[in-house]
Amino acid sequence: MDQDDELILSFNGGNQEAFDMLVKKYHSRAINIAYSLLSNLADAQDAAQDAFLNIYRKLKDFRRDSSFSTWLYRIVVNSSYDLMRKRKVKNVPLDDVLLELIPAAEDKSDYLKKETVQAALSGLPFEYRSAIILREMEGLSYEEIAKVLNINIGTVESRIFRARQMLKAVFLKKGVF
Amino acid sequence: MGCVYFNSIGLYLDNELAINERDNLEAHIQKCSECASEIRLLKLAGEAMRKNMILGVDSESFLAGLRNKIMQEDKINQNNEAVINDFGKWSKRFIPLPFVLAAACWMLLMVSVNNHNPVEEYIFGKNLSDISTLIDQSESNLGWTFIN
Repeated sequence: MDQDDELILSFNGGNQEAFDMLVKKYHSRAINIAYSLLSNLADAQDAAQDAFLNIYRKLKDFRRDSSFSTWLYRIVVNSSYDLMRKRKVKNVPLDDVLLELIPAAEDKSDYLKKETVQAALSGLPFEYRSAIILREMEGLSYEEIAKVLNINIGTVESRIFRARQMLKAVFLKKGVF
Repeated sequence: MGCVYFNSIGLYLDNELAINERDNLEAHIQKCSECASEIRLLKLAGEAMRKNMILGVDSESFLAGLRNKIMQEDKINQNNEAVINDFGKWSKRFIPLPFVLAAACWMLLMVSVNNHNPVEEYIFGKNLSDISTLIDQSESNLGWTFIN
């Protein structure tokens, strides 16, 4: 039994502080995933809080079919998607017009600029974005990503491949490489 | 790009290749500058995404916001429960049980007769002639004539 399982058991036994500890342990990761998916910090915090609220309600029913983090990532991705739909944010494909709006790199270190990366990420379809973010930012294996997104490994592979090709095309066009 | 290894480069970077496939690709990279360049670009793209992470999000303010959301949701749930309970009490007070049971029996009867509505038939159908017969019999028995 790992630390997360102990905290879950403790919370289910009535210890409220155990839930706070889970939140403190995972809130940064949850916000970062949501931020990469939504490109807005306030929305990211909102989606992450919605995810933890959902967990708070359902933790008693958590059957440990997967690890707590896998479950959390799935809920964060779903909360972000729900919030995106609620805000009626449409995914804008990375066409040439949009590419013009992304600031060009002034020097080679510019590829680290948040705006450039965020603009490039927000142009990806949501399903590609969620797969590449879980891989690159959270370091999840393809098998874990498949569990989080409830898709098969072959689909994970193709989504990550396409996401990388699209991002590479933007970065090359903007001269950040 | 026509290189057969091109599609495997992402899998290589993600440690998703079998050992023999990885060895083959590593041997290939030594000879193929295009694949070597692709690896460099994809590594930079990954690094750029990781640098995009937000650092130092205050856990206390996040927790405070979360607790607030939990309280708000609890309040809404309590209000909803109160409305349901109030309706339950109101319906018990103003709609007596026998009436509810009678209404339920009537509804059941309506459904069970399957297109045979006794009320409609009694008022507009053959039962209407039964009423006329009844009136005629009453007239002859009493020796009276009702006004038509």
